[in-house]
Amino acid sequence: MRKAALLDQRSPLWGYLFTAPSLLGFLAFFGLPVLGSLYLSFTRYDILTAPVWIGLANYKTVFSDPHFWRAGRNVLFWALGTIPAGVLIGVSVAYLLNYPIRGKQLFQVLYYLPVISMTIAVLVLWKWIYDPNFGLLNTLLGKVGLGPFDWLRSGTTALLGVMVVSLWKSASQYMVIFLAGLQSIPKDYYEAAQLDGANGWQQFWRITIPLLTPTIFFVVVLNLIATFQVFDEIYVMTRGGPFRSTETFVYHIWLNAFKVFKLGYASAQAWILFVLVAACTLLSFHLQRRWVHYE
Amino acid sequence: MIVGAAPRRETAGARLRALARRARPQHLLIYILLSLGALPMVYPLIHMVFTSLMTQAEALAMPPNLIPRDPQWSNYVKTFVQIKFGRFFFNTAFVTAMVVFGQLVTCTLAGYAFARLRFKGRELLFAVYIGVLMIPFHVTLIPNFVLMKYLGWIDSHTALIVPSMFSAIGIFLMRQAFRQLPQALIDAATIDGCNPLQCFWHIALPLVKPFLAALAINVALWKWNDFLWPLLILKTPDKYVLSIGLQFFQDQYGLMDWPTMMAATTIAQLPMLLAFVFAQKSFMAALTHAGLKL
Repeated sequence: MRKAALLDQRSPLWGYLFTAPSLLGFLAFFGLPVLGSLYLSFTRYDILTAPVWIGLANYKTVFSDPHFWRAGRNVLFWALGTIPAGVLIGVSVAYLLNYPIRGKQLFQVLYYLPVISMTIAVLVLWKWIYDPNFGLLNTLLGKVGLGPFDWLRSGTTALLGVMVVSLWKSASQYMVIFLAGLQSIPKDYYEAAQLDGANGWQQFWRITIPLLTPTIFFVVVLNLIATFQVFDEIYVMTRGGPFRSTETFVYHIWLNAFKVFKLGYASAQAWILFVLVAACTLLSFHLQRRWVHYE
Repeated sequence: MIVGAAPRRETAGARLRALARRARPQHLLIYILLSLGALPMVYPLIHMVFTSLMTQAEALAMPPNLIPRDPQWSNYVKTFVQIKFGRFFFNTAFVTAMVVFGQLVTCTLAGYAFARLRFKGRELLFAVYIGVLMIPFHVTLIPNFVLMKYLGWIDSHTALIVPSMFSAIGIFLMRQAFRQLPQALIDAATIDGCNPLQCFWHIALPLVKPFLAALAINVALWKWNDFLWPLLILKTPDKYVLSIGLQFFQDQYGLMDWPTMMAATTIAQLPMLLAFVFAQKSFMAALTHAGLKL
């Protein structure tokens, strides 16, 4: 009798049964590691011997580590360089693609190719394009008498070169999201504006852009967070070089943890990064009230 | 932006066509702008395919060739012989499929519980899941690696699959999906004697197929591209996934044999591109949610 009641239709046990698999997973691979990471950040740990408690020493070291600051500068430069450009390109292309023109499906497919493409394959492809002797970029520039440049091995262009690749892929992704944002703006707003005699330019600035600000905000915040976590691009294209000038936060953390086996120190850096990301996100949400319009 | 004046009404086909005829010079401008913009987006990929069909001498000619004279299909054969590309391909497909399946199971179950079931502690549990959402991967990276070491999962596909089978964002997506269903449907099934698992399986799940597709596509794209985690975990070349295999091969031979390298990168693109072509609508919907993945 009791057993039947336990698996009764309305038994609360079902709820626990349904959530148990994910809860176990979260505890094992998120909860436990977060605590572990916090603990390790106060220790000296090389994975082979047991961690040694050293208090705040790791955190003190981080702030005097020039490579960490350099990574911070690179991430800032990356964010300022790619996010506004990506938003500008993404909005422009999405705006054009939103016109009811013939063959726009074909254009959509073409513009979606970068975001569908496989990241590592694309990075390898761009490394070939940047090749100083035989790459496409120098070949084209050579035709107008410029170059050759050693894009990825020169301190002035390496980071910029990697950022262009990242922009190539992310602009495509922004565009997908902006196109959905544009399509969700009700058509009658434009009809009303036309009745009132607003021209296309006025409609764009007074209707399209304000109603797109929530989407722009969403894209900016998500990509800000993503910028803090850049790794693949740097690993494949420059390995942080030349002379460690293109390291990013996560690349720096990876280097400390898995190349020189300072896992405690790297954990402290990961936590500082966590706090930075959280602060940035909160600040963005605070600032949004000033410029984001919701319907 | 100069072209902002075109009418945006999409109703009444005839009127639209009349408008289109009147607005033709404007449309021409749009075509030109879109084509110019598409060139840098697409040409790198065309260049990849062209290079993949060149001989090594052609790729490294001075000045370099841009279009292959005589397509070298043998480069594609070489990727399978020289780089064990088939093996990497199979490994990636296996890992991706397992993770997609795992996430579909865990996310739909939990999403359904949060949307449709009543149980004590539900709100608290949901708050815990929101907390999980805010943890960036790099914070859990090091301890998870240590955990894999203790579990003896280093250099195994298990380490690529099991920790990836759980996703807070996937649960949120599925919770949204199940909340949209009318309660009457589930009540009716309950009165007919269905228990929650039967309601979930027979009634609710078939009705949220577009969301399942969106989740599956996003997870597949993420796992297909995943790099840092497999880079830490995998040691034996036989176990490599595509991303690691490509990187490894590039380190080894990249600068010498670009055509074979480009053949490999071309093949690595194909599964997602083909899936995109055949399921364009689902992909667009999924990519619009994709921002949430981060």
